[in-house]
Amino acid sequence: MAEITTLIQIFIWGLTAGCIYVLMAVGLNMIFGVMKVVNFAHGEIMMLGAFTSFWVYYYTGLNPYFILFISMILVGVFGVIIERYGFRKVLGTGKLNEIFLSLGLIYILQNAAVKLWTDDIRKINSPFSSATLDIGILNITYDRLIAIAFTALILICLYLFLTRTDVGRALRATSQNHEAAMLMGVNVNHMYMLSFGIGAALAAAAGTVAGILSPFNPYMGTLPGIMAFVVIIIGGLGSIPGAIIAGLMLGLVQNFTIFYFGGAWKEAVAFALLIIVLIIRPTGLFGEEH
Amino acid sequence: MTVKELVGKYAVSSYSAYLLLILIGLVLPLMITDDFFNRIIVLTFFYIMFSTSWNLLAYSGQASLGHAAFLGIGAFASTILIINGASPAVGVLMGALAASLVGLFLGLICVRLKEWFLGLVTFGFAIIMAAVVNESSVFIEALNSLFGAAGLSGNMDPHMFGGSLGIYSPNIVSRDQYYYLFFFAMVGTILASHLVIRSKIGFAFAAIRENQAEASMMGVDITRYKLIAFMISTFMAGFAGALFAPYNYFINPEIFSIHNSFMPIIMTISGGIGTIGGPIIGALVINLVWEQMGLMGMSIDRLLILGLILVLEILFLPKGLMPLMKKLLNKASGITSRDTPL
Repeated sequence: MAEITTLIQIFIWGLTAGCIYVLMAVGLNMIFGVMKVVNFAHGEIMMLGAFTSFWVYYYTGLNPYFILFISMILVGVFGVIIERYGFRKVLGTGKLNEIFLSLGLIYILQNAAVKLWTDDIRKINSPFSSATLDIGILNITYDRLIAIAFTALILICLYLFLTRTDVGRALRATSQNHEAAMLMGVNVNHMYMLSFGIGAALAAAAGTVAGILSPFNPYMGTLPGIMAFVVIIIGGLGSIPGAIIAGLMLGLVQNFTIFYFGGAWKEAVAFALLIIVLIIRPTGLFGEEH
Repeated sequence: MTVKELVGKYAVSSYSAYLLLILIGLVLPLMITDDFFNRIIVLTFFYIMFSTSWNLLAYSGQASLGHAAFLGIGAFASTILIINGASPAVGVLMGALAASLVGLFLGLICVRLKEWFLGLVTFGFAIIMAAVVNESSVFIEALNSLFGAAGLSGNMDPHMFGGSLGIYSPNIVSRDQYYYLFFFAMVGTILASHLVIRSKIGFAFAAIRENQAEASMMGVDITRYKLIAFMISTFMAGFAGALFAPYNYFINPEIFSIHNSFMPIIMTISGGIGTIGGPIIGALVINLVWEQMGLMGMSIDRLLILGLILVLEILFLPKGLMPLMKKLLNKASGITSRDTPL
């Protein structure tokens, strides 16, 4: 039996890994809820978020946790552009076209990033990178605690936006029923752009947090992207609470798996979870029929 | 007889077009003596097989985003068997069967899933296969104890097809023999795909793709035909992988890469999804473009360009090159509106 402090340590690691999945999966679910599109290139948007933060940090030297918000805005705008000139054009021409478009985007974004910035390993240096919170023999880096706090903050802001503002209500209305929302005077096209923008911004936040916690290169987004898909299937496609719970759960399960069985089984266990959920409850833990 | 009449009389019929292609394929090695060019053509055959396999699954409405998983399973399973003493023919067949069995397993998971879910699961499956094969110390240890090194280069026998498939002289596997092996395998795969699509099974696939609820009402057993599609398609992919491993002389977990999953998609879409000729034309064009870009020294750029090609095609040419080809063919033969089943 492992020491209790080790277990707490792994718990915190799992939680931070889970936070990154949650940010990614909530964004994917926002986009799916409103547009009924799953963006396979979400991991690549996350990578763009990390690089945006890296370069803003490189040129300005501001605090990376402040840059996180700049990165969210910039990448959010980029997401709006992708929606407007990419996905909007193929909406309604068949689901497969939307899938293939996002596959093409993976190729374009990933390789353009390698072309522009090479595949060198980089890291966003946090001012707290060496500071740890010590409780007894337990020590946790502040960066991990901040990552958890920021994820909570962003999710609370998103919740308030969706429930307390007119635009947020319009967004939810579109998610529930396109036609009815349209009849009530909601500009559905604007809602599409907004949802994609928010999704991209959340991915940028995930990318920045990941870039602060560990080194990255243009291929960083692929696995978190896949794991975010796993999370939304486990949590239920379109369900934001489901994404939060499943995301944290997957992060924890993966980190405990690494501890007990070794790193190689990290992905396998995620896939095993996915298969079990799909067999027992194909709509996911919190999903409805689609 | 003018060219127009000649074309009109013979080329419009898809069968004579295919016959012509087969003839060209048979005599091509006599004209091509360059090793490099021969390799590109063999790779094109390989990609045609792989794309045809993907296209057949997509024909039943199930677009796999992780077809490399089955390619890799076929390659690894057959190689492991052959190195351990199975005869090449048995090894290749078993490799394809292994891929087909895993395909059945994945199909069972996917049978209730539609577009997005199916895409997510297959996409994830290939990534996870790669990660498991790549990282699992257990797997690598097993490989190492079997073959002495990471990857499978050491003990690969270049003569593993020598004579054993019955069409070659014993123990000599020359460039041309591999060419013909891949050529006949490709013709067989295309023929099989053609027969399946034109059979009752193919009609069931199309019915499921167009409208699952209606197909079910008409008495089509959805689960059964979806699984059949998975099994046939993954068998073909595994077969292609099993042949590719000895030809390439080396396999490693890279075979599960996203790139290998995307190539058949890009190729099939370029040619025309859901047609027999689509994967053929698409694989031909994309592979030649790909190799040409390689010759020009592009590495990252050609991946970027591939992505651009896919996005532009989805936006502006979603039906691929097939409709254009048909139009040209019909124009050349003076027929205005004949649906050539090419």
